[in-house]
Amino acid sequence: MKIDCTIDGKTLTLSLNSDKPLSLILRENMGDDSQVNHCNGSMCGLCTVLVDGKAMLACMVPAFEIRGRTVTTFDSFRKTRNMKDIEKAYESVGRFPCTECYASRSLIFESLIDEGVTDPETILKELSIVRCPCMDPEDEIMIVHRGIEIRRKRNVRRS
Amino acid sequence: MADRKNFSRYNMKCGILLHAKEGSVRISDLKLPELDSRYLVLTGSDLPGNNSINFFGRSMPLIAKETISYPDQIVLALFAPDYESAALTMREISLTTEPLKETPEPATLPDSLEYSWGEMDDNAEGRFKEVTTEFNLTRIARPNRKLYTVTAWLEGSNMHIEAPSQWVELIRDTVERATGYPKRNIIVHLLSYTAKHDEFLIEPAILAAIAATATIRTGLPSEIREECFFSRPTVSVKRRVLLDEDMKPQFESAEMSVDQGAFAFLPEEYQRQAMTGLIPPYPLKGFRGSVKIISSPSQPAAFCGSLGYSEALASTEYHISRLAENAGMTPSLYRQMIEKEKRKFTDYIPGFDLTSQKKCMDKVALSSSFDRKWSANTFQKEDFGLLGYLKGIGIASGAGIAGFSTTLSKETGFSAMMTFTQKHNVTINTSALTHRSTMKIWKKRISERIIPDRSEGVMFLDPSPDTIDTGPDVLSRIVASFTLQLESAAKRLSVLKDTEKPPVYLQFDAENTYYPCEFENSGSGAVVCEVMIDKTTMVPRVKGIWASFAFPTVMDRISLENSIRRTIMMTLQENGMSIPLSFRIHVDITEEGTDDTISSVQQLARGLTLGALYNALHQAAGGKADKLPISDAEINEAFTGEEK
Repeated sequence: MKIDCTIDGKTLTLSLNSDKPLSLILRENMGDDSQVNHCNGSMCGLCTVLVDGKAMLACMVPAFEIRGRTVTTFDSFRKTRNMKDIEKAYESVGRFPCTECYASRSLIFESLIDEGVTDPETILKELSIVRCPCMDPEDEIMIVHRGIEIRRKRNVRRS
Repeated sequence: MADRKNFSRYNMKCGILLHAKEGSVRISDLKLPELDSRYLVLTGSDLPGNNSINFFGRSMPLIAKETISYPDQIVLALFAPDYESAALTMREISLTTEPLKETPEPATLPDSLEYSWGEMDDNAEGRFKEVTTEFNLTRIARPNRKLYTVTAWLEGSNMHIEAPSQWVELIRDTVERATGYPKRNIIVHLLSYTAKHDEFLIEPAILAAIAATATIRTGLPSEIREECFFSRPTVSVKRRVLLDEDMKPQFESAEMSVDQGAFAFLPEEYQRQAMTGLIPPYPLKGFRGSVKIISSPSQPAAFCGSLGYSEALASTEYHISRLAENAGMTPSLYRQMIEKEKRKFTDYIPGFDLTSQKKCMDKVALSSSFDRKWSANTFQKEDFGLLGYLKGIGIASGAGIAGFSTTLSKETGFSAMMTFTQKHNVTINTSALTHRSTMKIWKKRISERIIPDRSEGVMFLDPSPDTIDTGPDVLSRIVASFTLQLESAAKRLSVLKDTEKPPVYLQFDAENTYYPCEFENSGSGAVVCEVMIDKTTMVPRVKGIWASFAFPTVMDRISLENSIRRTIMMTLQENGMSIPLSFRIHVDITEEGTDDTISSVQQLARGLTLGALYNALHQAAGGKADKLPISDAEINEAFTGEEK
C-alpha cells in the first residue's frame, strides 16, 4: 500500500506492506541504522521515535499507523532547540544516559517535557519502556522537572 | 583510509542466521528449499578457508558442521535480496538433529590453578572453629536485544568490513583465515558501539568472516544483521576456614569452579584474575586457593566485563560477612578486628595499604547506618515465623585491579607507537582508539608532557593496515594499564625529542617493571546494599545503594560517577532485582592526588555491588536462597518448598 507521511521533515510517499514495523521502515527504507533498534517487539526500548510529538516504540508501530503523521527520529531531533533544553537538564542534574539509550531516553524526556508531566509515577511509567538500567529513577524525575523549568523559561523569554 | 562505499541497499545481499535450538546434538538432516541465484546459503563446509575463529590460541567453529556444541550455535547463513525474503525463506529450511551417541570430547581446558602459602592445619585436634561457606552465581545468557550489522564489500583488491568491534585485529585475522584474503587487504571500518560486557568481541568477527565469504561468492556487498549476545559463566566458590578462639581466621581454603560453556576463551587469564579476587585481604597462617575451569554444552562465556575478578571478589566479601555473622559482630567491625594496615604481598596482588579502603568502608557504613540496620535485621529475623523478616543489608569493600595480567602482557606483546614528528606534532599509532572521550583525555595529558598547551598537535592515526595491534578493548584496558604506558612513553619522548633529531619514534608495550605482581592495585571502594523482599509477591527490591570510592587520579568526575552508577544499576538488574520508585544511589568519590592512573572502575564497582547484594539477600532470605540471579518464584520456593 502507499502511505503518505512526514519523516524527519521530509514529506514522503512510501510503497510498502501495511504491517511493516516503523523501525524496519526507518532501517531499510530510510537507511537509518544509527539510532533505531529493532527487537521484534521485545520492548528493549531502543527504537523510540516521536510520532506527532509523542514518544513511541517504532517496532510496535505498523506502517498504516503513520499515515498522515509526522515521525521524528533522534537524528533530526538532536539538531533542535528542544534537544538543547534536554542537554541543559542533563548537565544541571549531572547525570547522562549511556550512549546506548541516549537517543531513546532523550526522545521520551522530550515527550514528557512537551506535555509538562510532573507526576513521578507517570514519568517513571513512561520511561520504563527503556530497559537500559543506566539511570536511577530519582535522576529521571529530576531531569524531567528541570527540563520543564528550562523550557518554560525559554518560552517566556521568547514571548 | 577509504570511506564506506555508498552502494545501494537494493544491490546488496542481506543475511540472517539459523541458530541451533539445543546443544550437544548431531545434525542428521538439513533440508533446503529450491533457491534461485538471488539466494545464497553458507554452511560450515562452504567456507573456503578455516571454519574457525582463533582467540589467544583457542579456537571455535564459525558455523557448526556436523555436531552442534551449544544452543544458539550458528548452523547456517542465508543471504537474500532483502531481509523479508530471507526471513520467509528461512522458514522453509528444516533442521533435524539427534542426540549424540557418544559423549563429546570435552574442550581442552587448563589444569586447575593452585596458589598457596603456609602449612594447612587439618584441625584434627579440634583447636579451631571450622566455618564453611558457599557462593553461587548461575549462568546469565540472553540476547541483549540490540541489533547490529556487519557489512562486507569488495573494492579493487581490498575487502572492506564495517562492524562494531572490541578488537579490530580479531576481525582481520578471522576473515583472513576463513577466506584466505591477505590480511593487508582487509580494511575494517569501525562502527560506534556501546558494549556493556564483551558482546562485540567474538561475534562480530564470526559474522565478518561469513559476510566476507558471501561477498566473495556473490561479488556483491553482503550484510548480516544480528542481535548481540553475552553470557556470564556459572561460578561456584566453596570456602573452609579455621578460626581461633578470638574468631580470627588462621587457615583457609577456597575452591572456585567456573563453567565457561562449550568453548573456553582465555581460561588461563580468567584463572589468574579469579585467583586475585579469591585471596582474602586479612592475614592468614595458611591459604590454599584453586580455580578450576569446566565446560558444558552451553553458550561460551568469554569475559563478561570482569574476567572473574569481580565474581571472586564478591565471593570473598560474602565469606567475610558470614565469618562476622559467626563471630556475632557486624561485618564492618569484624573487618577492623581481623584486617591489618597492609595486605599480604602475593604473586597476584601487591601488599598495599588498606587505609583508604577502610576509610571508604567507614564512610558508607556511617551514611547508610549499616551497623544499626545490620544488627536490627539480625535480631528481628528470629521473631518472625515462616517468612522471616525479609529485610537485609550487605557490605563489600575491595581494591580495583588494572587491565590484563603481567603474564598475558608478556605473552602477547601488544604495543603502540608514539612519534614526535618533524612538524613538532605527536602521532600515536594504536588500534585502541574507539572512545572519543578517552582520546580527548589522552591528548590533553600527552600534550602536557611533550607539547604544552597544544593538545591539537597530538594525533591518533586512522586505522589502516599498518595500525599496530594494541589488544582487545575489554576490561577497560585503555583507561587502566594502557594509560600508564602512554604516560610513561610521553615522559620518555619528551626527553628524547630534545636529544635526537625528529622524527623520534618510541614503541612501547606492557613492561615488566610496571607489574611486580600479576596485577597492580589501583583505587579502592566500598558498597552497602539494602534489600527488601516483598511479602506478597516475593519480588526482591533494592531499597538503596551507598557507594564510596577512592582513586589516585580522577580525570573526569562526572563521567566517572555516571560510569559507577551505570555499573551498579546494571549489576542489580542483571541479577533479578526490582528497582522501586524511592531507590537512590549515593556515590562518594575521593581523589587521593597521587600520580597513578585509575583502575578498571567497572570491575571494582561490579564486584562490590555483587558482594553487597549477595550479603543483603542472604540476610533478607535468612540464608535460604543464596544464589544470584534470583527470581520471585525461586525465593517463594525457598520459603515454602513448593514446586514452581
